[in-house]
Amino acid sequence: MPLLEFNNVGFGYKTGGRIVDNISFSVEKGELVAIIGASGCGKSTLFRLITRLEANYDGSIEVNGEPIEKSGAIAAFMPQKDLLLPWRNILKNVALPLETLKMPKQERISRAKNALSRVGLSGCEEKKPSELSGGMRQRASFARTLMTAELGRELLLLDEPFSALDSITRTQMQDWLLKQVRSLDKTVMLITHDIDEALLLAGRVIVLCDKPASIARQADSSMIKSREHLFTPQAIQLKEELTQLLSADAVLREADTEVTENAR
Amino acid sequence: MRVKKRLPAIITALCLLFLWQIIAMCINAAYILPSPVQVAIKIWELKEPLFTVHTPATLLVTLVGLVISIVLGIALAVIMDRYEFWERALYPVIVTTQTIPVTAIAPLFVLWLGYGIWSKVLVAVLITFFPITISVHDGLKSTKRENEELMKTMGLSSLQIFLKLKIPACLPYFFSAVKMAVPLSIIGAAMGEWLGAQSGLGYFSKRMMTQLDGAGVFAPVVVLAVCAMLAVAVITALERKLIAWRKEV
Ligand SMILES: Nc1ncnc2c1ncn2[C@@H]1O[C@H](COP(=O)(O)OP(=O)(O)OP(=O)(O)O)[C@@H](O)[C@H]1O
Ligand SMILES: [Mg+2]
Repeated sequence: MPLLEFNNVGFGYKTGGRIVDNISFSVEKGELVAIIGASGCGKSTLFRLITRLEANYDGSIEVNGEPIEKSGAIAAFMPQKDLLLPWRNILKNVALPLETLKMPKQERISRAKNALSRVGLSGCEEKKPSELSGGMRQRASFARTLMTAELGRELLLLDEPFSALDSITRTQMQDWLLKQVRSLDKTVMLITHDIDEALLLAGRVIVLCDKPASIARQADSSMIKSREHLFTPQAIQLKEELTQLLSADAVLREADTEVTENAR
Repeated sequence: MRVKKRLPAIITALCLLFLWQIIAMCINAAYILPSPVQVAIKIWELKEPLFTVHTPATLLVTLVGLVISIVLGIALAVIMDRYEFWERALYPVIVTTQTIPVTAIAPLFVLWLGYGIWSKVLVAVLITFFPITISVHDGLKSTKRENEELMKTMGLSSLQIFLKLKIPACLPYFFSAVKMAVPLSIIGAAMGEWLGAQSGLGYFSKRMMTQLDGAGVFAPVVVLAVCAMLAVAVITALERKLIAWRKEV
């Protein structure tokens, strides 16, 4: 039984038209699935459905075979921006999810410290978020997500964890995340608009296209296990195909915005 | 370092005082414009009634007015933040109350509430509760929805979100509102006393007026200003301590 299953899910915000339509996919326990698609196509919206920030969708979303409404929260969500609280130091920011539990303060602190050393931020406990670099903040945000996962959440939802970083730091962080995820016993969904990143990190890539967005392709990328594998003929072929899908979609989007602008 | 930063302001203030002294000496009529030196001497002469009776009376009104405004302002702001209905029902009304010229209707308060402290407290409250309510409300609204949503996905309750997100985010707004409200509250209290009272700096200043004692009119005004400055300084120090994080952002 899959951990998470979308069946013909469609959704639109109250204020606008339909964002996603006919979305069907499933995620097995232990998988790492990437979602790619153009900016604004509705990737984050899928995460909002899984974290139940949005309801009133069509179709069904099931967790372990039960409707998502009936199962408790399953996801630890890492947002696109770090959203660290500026008045809390890093340690207290990371410990925030644990404050939902009745737990001695001492234990909260030691758990958060563990997570911080795990992401390589030991020594930054007392610092305020504004004193850290962008990459360090992202890692702190990841550590906070790990704390949320400790609340018994099976699924990690990472929304463009590295979009705010320059390309060198980004490469480092990708390698770092790969190590982290492999050593964790969790299921991961990762949003990105970087094809290389998706292929490198994930075992399967879901491509969203069109407006409203639906799944254009699900590609197996489990054979790409390290950066060198990105240059095998097989990987290059796959990259080519995905790039084509996405750029066709981009052309479509551009035409779409032109039409709406002309209509104004 | 700190003194150096403030030196220009201190020099400007001294120059103004000096100019005032010169002009007053030229006019040479203390009932029209007393000189700073005359005012200072007057404060010294009147220190007994000024500091044992009238200053405490005014400060009591100011304090009671402020406390009521803060409690009322925070309560209204929290209700408006929590319930959209009340926001729509109250916000426009609160903004409209600001167009009422409190000064003009203040004599009525004396009629309603008598010569005791409550008519003055009402003036102070009416002047100060508005900036406090609006600022605290803005502060509560200043939190990003994304932050609130993230905390929701962590499983924090709405009370926890209020305590851990809304209140800290609101503190800077609260402090700037109180800094604005303290002088206003003192002005409101003095104004109320001016209209009818048995004690207080406003009352004292008015009595000196009827005696054409120029320096005597200024003396309580100077005391009022010093009180306001001291109070704001205390609040600023407290603010520095509580929201040190803000400077670093
Ligand atoms: N809370 C909301 N209310 C109304 N509309 C929204 C909301 N959030 C997103 N949208 C709209 O839904 C569409 C999809 O947004 P979404 O954030 O899911 O895109 P995305 O694929 O994550 O984009 P990006 O790569 O830029 O993060 C956008 O057109 C956006 O304007
Ligand atoms: Mg997004």
